[in-house]
Amino acid sequence: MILFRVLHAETLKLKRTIALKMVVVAPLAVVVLIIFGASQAPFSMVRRGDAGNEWMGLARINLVVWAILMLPLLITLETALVAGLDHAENQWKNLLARPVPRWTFYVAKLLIVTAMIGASTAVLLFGVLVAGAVLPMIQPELHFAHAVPWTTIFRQGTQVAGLAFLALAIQHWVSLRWRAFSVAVGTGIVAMVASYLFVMMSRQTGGWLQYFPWALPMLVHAPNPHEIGRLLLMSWAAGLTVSGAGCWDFCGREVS
Amino acid sequence: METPVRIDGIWKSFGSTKAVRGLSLSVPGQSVYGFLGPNGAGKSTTIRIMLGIQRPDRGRVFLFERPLASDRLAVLGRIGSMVESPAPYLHLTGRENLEVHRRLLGAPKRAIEEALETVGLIPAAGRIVRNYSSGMKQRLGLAQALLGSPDLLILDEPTNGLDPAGIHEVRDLVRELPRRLGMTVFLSSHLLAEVEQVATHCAIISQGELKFEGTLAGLRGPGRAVIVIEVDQPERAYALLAGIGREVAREGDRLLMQPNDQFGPAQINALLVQGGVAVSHLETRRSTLEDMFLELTTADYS
Repeated sequence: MILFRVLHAETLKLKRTIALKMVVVAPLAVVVLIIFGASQAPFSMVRRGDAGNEWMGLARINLVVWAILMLPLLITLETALVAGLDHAENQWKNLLARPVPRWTFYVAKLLIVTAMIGASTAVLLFGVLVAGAVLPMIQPELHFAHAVPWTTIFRQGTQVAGLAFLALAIQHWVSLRWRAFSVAVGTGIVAMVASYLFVMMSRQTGGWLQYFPWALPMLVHAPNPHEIGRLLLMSWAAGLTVSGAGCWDFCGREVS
Repeated sequence: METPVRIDGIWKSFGSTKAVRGLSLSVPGQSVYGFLGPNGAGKSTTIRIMLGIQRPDRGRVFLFERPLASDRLAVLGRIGSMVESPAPYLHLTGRENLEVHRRLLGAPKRAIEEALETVGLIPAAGRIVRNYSSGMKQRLGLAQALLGSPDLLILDEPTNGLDPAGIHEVRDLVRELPRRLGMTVFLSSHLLAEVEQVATHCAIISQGELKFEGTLAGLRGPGRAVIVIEVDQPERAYALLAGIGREVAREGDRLLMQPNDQFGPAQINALLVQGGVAVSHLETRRSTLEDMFLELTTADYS
């Protein structure tokens, strides 16, 4: 199984990299910031709405900050860093001279980055549980009286990560297509800023702007949550289409 | 014996620049094949085409008598390569770098130790490559190319960045491989001396065109000779030699002319002395391999 061999090689390349450390650092940064915020302003951050269920409030604020701020940045960074492992020193001239189909490199790296984003979101959800245990100790006004809504928290986390797939697929293509780190990072930052703008505009007027790829994860907490299934389908269908086109482009390119 | 590399009339352009122009090569099995040419002659482009990482505009490449275009994966499994400078993962150890490629090849674990031993890198194999010297990186690149004992080893400027001792080791290694492991070595270089010391066959290219292909002995050939004459009266000597119908060239106070079977150094000496010219120096100079190389490659750039 050639794809497995390439995946096996790709995982070894991640050893001692910032990309691997970011899987844990990025979600923990969000959790720590929310713990700090909730310890200072518990009512505005955790006890707002959600029928007084502090667990839901805590999960919601973590996932909103994750979806709006950290996830787009993490996707940009991880795709650029993983591609950069082989752009640096022009590793492609060695890799593509191996008896391995080119598409396997593209697909293996896509699977690796997708798994890293999934793992990062899982770390965030674990952090929510830890934060729920820690917060009452440092902020006595917070009582987590209800049972942990495991299913809802897990579902919403999975939805946020799932809706990010289209943006991830685009960033993956850009990162492999252009050798310069600045192109991938620049694309991600511009897209992230555009997504804030489009979401704000679409809240006033509705319409297609809310479906901008980088804005999709923000829709998990949108007013019409019943649309999530359709949005997930759209994100994955478009993401797989983009990946197919990116893979075709990658396979046809020459190494200088 | 199968032919490891056969190239039929490949062309490759980058924009308006023609990097390779109708190049054809044939590399005999178990030879050390020197691929010589000045910088920018098209050597690295040819190697990239041979490895399938660039496509020719026209022409075909056969590796082990199978077309590269249709059997790329099958033939690449029999090739190890180091294209230009080595490109290791700096954050991994030497052994981990080889492990990445071992996994891609599906080679057995022992292949790593064998490759490390061949290039003498076992003591440093556990160190992070960022801390390697350029010579160690070069050896690691060689070990990577040797992984899985390929039938054809393609090395592009393998001694770049090495100190004299390192260059000597690489030369010994390249010379030994066909005998020890039955490999064919395709060695690209712009250094004639490097190829001269290890190669059994060679090709010379200049501006993307083949100028010579054959054995080193064939390149040397009988060698063109020139007689260098130093006399006390160059003008008179010139007139005497020209007077018998021979073509004579002037190089400062020296006279140069080509010998033939009837008119060699002895006859020239006798003619000049009988004509009252004192001969202080008479020498037959044969063109060296370097002269041949320069003659084949510099005409395009002049």
